[in-house]
Amino acid sequence: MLPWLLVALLGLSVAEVAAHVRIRSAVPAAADHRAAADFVRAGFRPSEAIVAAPDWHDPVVRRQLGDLIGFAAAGRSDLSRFDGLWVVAIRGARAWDEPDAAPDQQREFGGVTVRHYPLTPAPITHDFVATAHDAKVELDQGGDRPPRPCRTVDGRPGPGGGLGKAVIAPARRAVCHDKKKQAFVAPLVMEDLELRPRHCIWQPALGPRPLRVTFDDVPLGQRMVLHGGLYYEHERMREGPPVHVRVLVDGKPRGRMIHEDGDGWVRVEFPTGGRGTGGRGQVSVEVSSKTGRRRGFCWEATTRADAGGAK
Amino acid sequence: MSIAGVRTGRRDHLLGAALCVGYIALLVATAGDIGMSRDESMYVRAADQYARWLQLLVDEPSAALQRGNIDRYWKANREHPPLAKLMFAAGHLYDAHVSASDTPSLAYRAGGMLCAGLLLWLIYVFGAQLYGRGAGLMAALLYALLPRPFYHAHLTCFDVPITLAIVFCVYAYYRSLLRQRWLAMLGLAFGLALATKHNSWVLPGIFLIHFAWVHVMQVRTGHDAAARVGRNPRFLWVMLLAGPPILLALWPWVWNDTAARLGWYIAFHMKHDYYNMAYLGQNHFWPPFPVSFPWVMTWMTVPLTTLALALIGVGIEGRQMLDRLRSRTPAADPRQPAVLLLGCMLAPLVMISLPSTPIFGGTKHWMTGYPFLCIFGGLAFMSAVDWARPRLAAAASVLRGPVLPVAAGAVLLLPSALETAHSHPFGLSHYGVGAGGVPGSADLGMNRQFWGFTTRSVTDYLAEHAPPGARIYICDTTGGAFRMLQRDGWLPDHLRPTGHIGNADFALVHHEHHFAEVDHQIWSTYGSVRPVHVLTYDGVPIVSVYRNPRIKR
Repeated sequence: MLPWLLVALLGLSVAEVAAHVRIRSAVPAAADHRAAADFVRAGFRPSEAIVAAPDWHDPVVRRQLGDLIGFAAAGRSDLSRFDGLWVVAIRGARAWDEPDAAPDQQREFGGVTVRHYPLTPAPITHDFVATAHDAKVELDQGGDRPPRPCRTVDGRPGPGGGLGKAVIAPARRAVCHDKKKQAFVAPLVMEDLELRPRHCIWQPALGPRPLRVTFDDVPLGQRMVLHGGLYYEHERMREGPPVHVRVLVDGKPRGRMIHEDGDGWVRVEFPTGGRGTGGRGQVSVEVSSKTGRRRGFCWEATTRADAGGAK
Repeated sequence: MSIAGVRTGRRDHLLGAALCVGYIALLVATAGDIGMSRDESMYVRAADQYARWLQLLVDEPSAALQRGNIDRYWKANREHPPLAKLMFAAGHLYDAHVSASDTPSLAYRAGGMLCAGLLLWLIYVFGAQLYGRGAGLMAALLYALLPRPFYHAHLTCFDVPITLAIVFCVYAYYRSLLRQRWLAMLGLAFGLALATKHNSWVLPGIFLIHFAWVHVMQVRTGHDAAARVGRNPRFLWVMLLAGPPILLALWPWVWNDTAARLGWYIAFHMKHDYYNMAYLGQNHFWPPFPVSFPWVMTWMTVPLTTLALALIGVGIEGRQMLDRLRSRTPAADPRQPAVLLLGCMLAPLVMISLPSTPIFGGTKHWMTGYPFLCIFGGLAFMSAVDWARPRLAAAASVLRGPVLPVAAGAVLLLPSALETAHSHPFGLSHYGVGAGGVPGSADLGMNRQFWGFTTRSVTDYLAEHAPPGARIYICDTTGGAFRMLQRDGWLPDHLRPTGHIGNADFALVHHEHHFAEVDHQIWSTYGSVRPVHVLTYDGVPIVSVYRNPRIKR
């Protein structure tokens, strides 16, 4: 064996060089990405979502098609809002929420594969994130004191940015505390415990007294689907107290979520007490916790006309 | 057949010097492509302060030695000892007073590059003394062509200087076991290592374990009295007596409040902060850290042929040792160098494997073990050539003489050369065939970079597209590193770094798992998920550049 060790080593060396060349030659060319993007652009409808697979490929897809990718698609909790899905994939990857069914269209552009799936959207009667700016925001004061309304501002975005800063206050938000930079309510995109983007209403727990967001005249449908979670760094140490979320419809508690650190992005579903598409009512979402420190909660919800069972 | 070391002489040092100069020339030629990293900018700031103090020491020695001035100039970066930063300061002073180059970063980086070149020289000499010239040369070249160390060799950082200092300590210790005059060199080397970085603290422990092993083997296998390693661990007394005073002498910061300041320095590293590091799809930020991290990262970042050579080298030595133990035959070299090399190769990896040890530095934290890995590689190379030579030479006469080792060496170095060339200037983003390359590492959820140095790779885009006076949100790049890009001429002076995404004309994101947060902050603030430019490396996103639609210039 030993006399042939050199030959074996030389063989390994040649194989490593060959593998190196093969890996590099498998990288899709820029022209492939452009051709794939042109194909998607030609068939895309605004009610559809475009996603990348694998996840790390996402910036390249957003560079090509980002003007067609809204926050709802980029920060989706599920695909219930969309009637079609375009997956721009490389390396044989699948998107994390790609349907199991066969695509109705599939095209290869060099190393880039485009797949299209028709989807049946959920019968959404109301999207709370889309109407967040119309909501009334107030901080419960406790006892008999009336709640303190949060001040709506529409000016410049908040300062800063960077690691550990959670979120930047968007230009338009309801400010609930002048000295606490993150004590505001606004729709934005936040990273959850898995570092995924989530398009949601930033509504941090400011302490034991609830921060309340109230939506008037909401088409109630039959049920409400709510997703929520904490900002990555507030949740990852698993040392904070639970965040309590209570949903009231016309003043009556209808749903709740008790979010423990480590739960990540959680889905809850409950009946609204409405009947199909006809009923309307006032919906309040209250968020509280034992402490107001590092409890950056964000949620998104829809009311739906069906009785449930769909994703 | 066994491979024997040689007594090195002037010609060997000439070859070592040629390796050194050649490598430095390569580093100088390629340094401009690598942007200043986060940590470098901090050491540059400290070096500037130390340079001012040195200038004061020359101009007004008594004033420089006053406590107020020592505290003023030496407080910067007091969490690390001074030697490497003094080298960086010397490079800067030379540049400021003599050469006045138009790339100031190179002046600060020169000290680290010099260490990288000297390290090759030392690896060659050490390897040649242990296993012959061919092995020494192969070891030096294997090390020179390791992709990640090649990146680090460019930097104003401590990792390459401490690697040099540790290899020098090991070499001096090894020589001192039979020649006492090397004890003085060992004391000096350990002092310099202590003054370079805290990795050196473990050296006496490693040497003690090796020393104990040497004596166990001497008892088991016997040795001529003349060739024995003495029982008195003189090396230890020398290290303990000479090392700390050299550290103290070189570090003015600890000349006052010595106990308190040294205590703070030690405590800083014993209770170091934890930073984020992605590994196999998880973002690790708090202990316990995965035990497998340094081993898997070594598999993924060191060329496989180099790893195979090293493992074979270890196997050859291991088999010989077992044979000697069985036959109770003493080793040709009573100092048991293979055990020393193995200990020095593995110790840093084992330390990083401890679940409590931070892993944020990636491979640089166990890079001190790689020179020994490469010496084992050199041994395997020459063993394989020697075993093959009679058969191959019989088949083809052209393979007699140096043709076979030269040709085989070239083929065995080819993967390393390709990987290293391809790793530049992305260094920390590079993964080899063991990971499936850069895209394979992204599939596996490995860390993609750190330190924000890849801003250099988007300077052309910014220079072309950013209007005069534009503000750039620089993400993981520090203000000092950004200004160095301007001083080096890679970015126009009119651009301004900012920490405010909302006020920036352009915002950068250095893609690491946990920097997803910055992406999302930018989306929310700019109202769009579309970057205007994405820098990729083998198709893997490295930096995204966003333009703020709210700011019109």
